[in-house]
Amino acid sequence: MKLPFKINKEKTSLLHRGIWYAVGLLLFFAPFAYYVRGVNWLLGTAQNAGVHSPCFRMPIQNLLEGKGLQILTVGGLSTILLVLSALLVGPFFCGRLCATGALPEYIGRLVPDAWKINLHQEINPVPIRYGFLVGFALTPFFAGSIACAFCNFTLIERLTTGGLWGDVGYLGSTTIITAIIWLLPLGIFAQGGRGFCSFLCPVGAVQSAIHSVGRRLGFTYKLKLAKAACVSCSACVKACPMGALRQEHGELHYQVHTCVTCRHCVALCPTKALTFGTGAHGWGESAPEQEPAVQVQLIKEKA
Amino acid sequence: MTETRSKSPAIGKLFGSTKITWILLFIAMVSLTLSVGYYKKSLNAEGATVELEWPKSTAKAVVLDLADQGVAKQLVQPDKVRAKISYSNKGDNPIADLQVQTGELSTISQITANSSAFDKQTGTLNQLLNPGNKLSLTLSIDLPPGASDAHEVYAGELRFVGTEKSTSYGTVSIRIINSRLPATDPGKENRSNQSDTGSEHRGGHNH
Ligand code: SF4
Ligand code: SF4
Repeated sequence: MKLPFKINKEKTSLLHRGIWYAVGLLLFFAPFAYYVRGVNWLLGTAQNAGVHSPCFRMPIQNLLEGKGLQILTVGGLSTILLVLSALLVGPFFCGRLCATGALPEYIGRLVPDAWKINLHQEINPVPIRYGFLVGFALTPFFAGSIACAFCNFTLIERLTTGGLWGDVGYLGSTTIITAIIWLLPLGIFAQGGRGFCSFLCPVGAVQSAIHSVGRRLGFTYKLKLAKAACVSCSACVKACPMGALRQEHGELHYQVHTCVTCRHCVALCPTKALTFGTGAHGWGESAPEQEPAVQVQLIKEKA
Repeated sequence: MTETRSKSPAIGKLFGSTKITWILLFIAMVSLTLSVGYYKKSLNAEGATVELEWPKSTAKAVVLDLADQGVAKQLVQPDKVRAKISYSNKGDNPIADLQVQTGELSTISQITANSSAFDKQTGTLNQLLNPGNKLSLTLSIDLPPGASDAHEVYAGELRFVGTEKSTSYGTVSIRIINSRLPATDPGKENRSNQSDTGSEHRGGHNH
């Protein structure tokens, strides 16, 4: 579909992604939560039409507490869908449907870069996000679950169910702290606006772990690099909201454990060196398409 | 062009070996998350959790002390308090037309549930509560301006009734205090504590 006015590639990609996030808002968050209503209808259940019901954290918590996965519930079914989608297409929920991750990213685009910290450059997010995931899974055995106390998903729901009109509902101390961290230091004042996603989201961490295995299979979708086509322009590096790409000594580095497969980099790559699809991923030494011509080019660049 | 495994240049510069850094960061974050869990636990009394089981235990009392609020809550929203109530049907028959009446709390409170069959306007569960099932409710109370300037802030009662047959299915009495301020009449406080029915909970699991 052609738009009646001209917009650049970046804005087109943001608009395209924005539409997906709006769909995510309608599917998962009250007062809409059409996905939850649909699953309720399908299963004949009457779970609350809000983001709490499909939340992946609760079934995991139940599993850890020995209550079983409870598959035939909104949460159980959603967990299976999340795991399958992460295996087949990567963190699709994060990259396309999670309005919670998108909100600080989009608002952060209005904040000048000079006011932002490039956290991904200062600190490696991977051990932090997996450390948080492990800690999150362990807390029920020590201090009690932190699943709902530090939830940034419900913060979006507070906005859609009344917050925009001034009624954010009950705020506990942990909710207030989460809101500040999610929106400010790890949000609009972090480069890319997705610091909370990179460092503190257990839902994203689980999907990344699954995707890091799934993308090794030929039939799954993943971010692919055709090295021969890359001109080291760094457009993708600047575009990535998760800081998952880095250009060093003419080499493009990719961190699968933080990539949310939003495909913003794919949209902005001028040479189509980056694509999203099936087959070999093309990154690293193990990549089959390690063409000698590319290596010669790289040696020349280094020289 | 390679895939970054555990390289983080800045941290590498700070700590030397990236593998050791990775492990240290990981362990530090696990520990930090566990400490956050304990911090959250220390704030449990900010809200209250109470469990009712029909027909065994149907009368409970809750005391919410505003002095138990964490710093963030005191700064941002000290006048909104919350109690989480779980109501389980442990009897042999389904409960029909269950209604939660907020009584004297109705003008300052809102009640929501984990079930889409619960009408929050009328407080009615529009489906049977079958044996073995549980209804999780959240009661939010907006304290009127100035109410927290006294030791005794507010008191009220939640009543679980069957609308059709006017059966009583239980009560939760809720008392809100501010222990930072002295009780004006200690004798009165003792009497009011003694008059509470069932077991009394101060604060509880806060989510
Ligand atoms: S690497 Fe590309 S797909 Fe992955 S998070 Fe960054 S911009 Fe999105
Ligand atoms: S945008 Fe494309 S060409 Fe430019 S560095 Fe990234 S992959 Fe290479």
